[in-house]
Amino acid sequence: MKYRHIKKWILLAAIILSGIVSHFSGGINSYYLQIIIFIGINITLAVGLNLINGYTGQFSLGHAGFMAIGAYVAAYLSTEHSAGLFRALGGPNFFSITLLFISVLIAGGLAAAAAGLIVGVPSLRLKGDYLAIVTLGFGEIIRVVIQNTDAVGGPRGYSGIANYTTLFWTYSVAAITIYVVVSLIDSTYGRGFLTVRDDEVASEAVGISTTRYKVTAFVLGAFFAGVAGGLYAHSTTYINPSGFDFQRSIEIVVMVILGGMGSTAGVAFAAILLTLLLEYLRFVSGYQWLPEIIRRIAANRVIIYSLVLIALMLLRPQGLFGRLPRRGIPIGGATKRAKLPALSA
Amino acid sequence: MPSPLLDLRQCTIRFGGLTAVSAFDLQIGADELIGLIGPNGAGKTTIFNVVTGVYRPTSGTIIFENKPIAGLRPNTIARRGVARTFQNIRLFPTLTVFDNVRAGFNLRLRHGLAHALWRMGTFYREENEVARQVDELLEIFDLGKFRDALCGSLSYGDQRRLEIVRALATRPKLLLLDEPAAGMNPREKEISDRRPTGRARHESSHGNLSARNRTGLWNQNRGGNPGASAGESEGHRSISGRRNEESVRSTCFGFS
Repeated sequence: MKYRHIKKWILLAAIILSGIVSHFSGGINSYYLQIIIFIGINITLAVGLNLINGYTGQFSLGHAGFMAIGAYVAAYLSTEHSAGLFRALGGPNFFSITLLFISVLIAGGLAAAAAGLIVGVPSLRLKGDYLAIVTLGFGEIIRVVIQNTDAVGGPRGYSGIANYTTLFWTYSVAAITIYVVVSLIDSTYGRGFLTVRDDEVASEAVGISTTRYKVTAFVLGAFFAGVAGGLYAHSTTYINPSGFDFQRSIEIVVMVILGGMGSTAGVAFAAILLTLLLEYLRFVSGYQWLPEIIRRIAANRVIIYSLVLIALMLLRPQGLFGRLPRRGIPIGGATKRAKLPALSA
Repeated sequence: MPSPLLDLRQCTIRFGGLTAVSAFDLQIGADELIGLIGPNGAGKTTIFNVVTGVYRPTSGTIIFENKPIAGLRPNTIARRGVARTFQNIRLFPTLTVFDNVRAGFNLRLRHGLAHALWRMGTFYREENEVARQVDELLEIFDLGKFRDALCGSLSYGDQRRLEIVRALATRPKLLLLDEPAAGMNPREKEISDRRPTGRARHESSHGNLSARNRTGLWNQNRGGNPGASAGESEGHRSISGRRNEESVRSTCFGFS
């Protein structure tokens, strides 16, 4: 194959490009810059969640919880434990900051991945709505635990985080996330995620360990959410538990559904679209010439999500970039599955 | 016969108060082709589910290649060399024909997560080798022309065949076909007689997929299920009345 390393070259090009753009981003209005960074963070979150929800077919509603773990671990480490590193490397210079930031991001990701491992275990026994409820509960537990931890500010939030996040870091992480998910799915090994989604009994029958794939999906998805959380914390320099609530999880899920479950390009696109839309609606809610009802709706994110989802289900249920493989010809054996493995009459 | 490939001893499965299979014995040697017939509800599929690990037997032992496999996870049993098809076809509906067969190669992969991400020479060598073998299997079973179609777009008979190809892709030592000819017309059955080279060639001299060289007819529902006796004897009669090719419900292949 002539183009076998094309994915790696694209990844490298994306990282270099984001480095170059980042280097010349000084002139950009800081408000726009912040939005562009949020877009990158949301791409990372949504593409990571898509591995769990879209490709592996496990409905997780607790992605903000993973993000919170990453954000708090990274923020705590970089704020409270950076002094030693800086002393050893001669003060906060380019090299020491880079090293510190990479290591706190990875630490945040690993902490979230460990949580993903814990959440992955119930996913082995639960399906669909039940798993959604468990992951939802998990996300809330994380939030409440943080709210009651004084070391990270409790409900007041955690402030004084250094502003390390740049365009370069954000988009490098987004590019790596996309690379990991895309190249994973494009391999005989990675197709196992899709077979687990399609039919667990048949997957087991051909020797695919559904357990392993589900846990892997949760761990990887959580890892990227944790890194995204670290980027978020070092971008806003202030985090508080209510920023990682249920609504945040829903936001990421909406991105995945909007883009089309199991389509990385679609999900990344939806992340861009939804982030921009929500920012734009901030202005709309301030336009005095609009009727008050529209301004009120625009100010309320939850109503917007609902409207987006209702419109999507009516017009394009498979998502913007998704495919509907089942249209037309019925598929033998793919009828509604019973609770017990209904293998035959 | 030296020690059999598969050896079921006194296998009993109860679901609550219902005894689905009671004290069932079955020996399958290498190179044997065995048909399993019985009336509806006799427990043929339940036997398959027990052998492949979907259900755990209430009592009794299952020995495969001299090792007990009762209670192992289905994927572990598949790795040991037991492949199966399902009575109601279970393909991966969102995947292409090619990917469905490729799923059967998953258990023999030498690459994993890290290789799929690193994507260096060994990864591509293995992927190419897998692709070559998948295409070869598809050609043998006349499915090559559907390679990149979604498996849902295939006809019923082709889907059945695809499921058999997927099972063969795991290179089983024992292949369990649950009602392989159900719902197929004679033309489709004929196409199904084509078989892969190598391992399974031995079978072709003995008969085709729907034939048998030893048919086990057994009576189930001995006790435990009141009201079954009437239906049972009736079913028994009707089965004995047509003990021909059509009546073979499920087939077990023992590969050498």
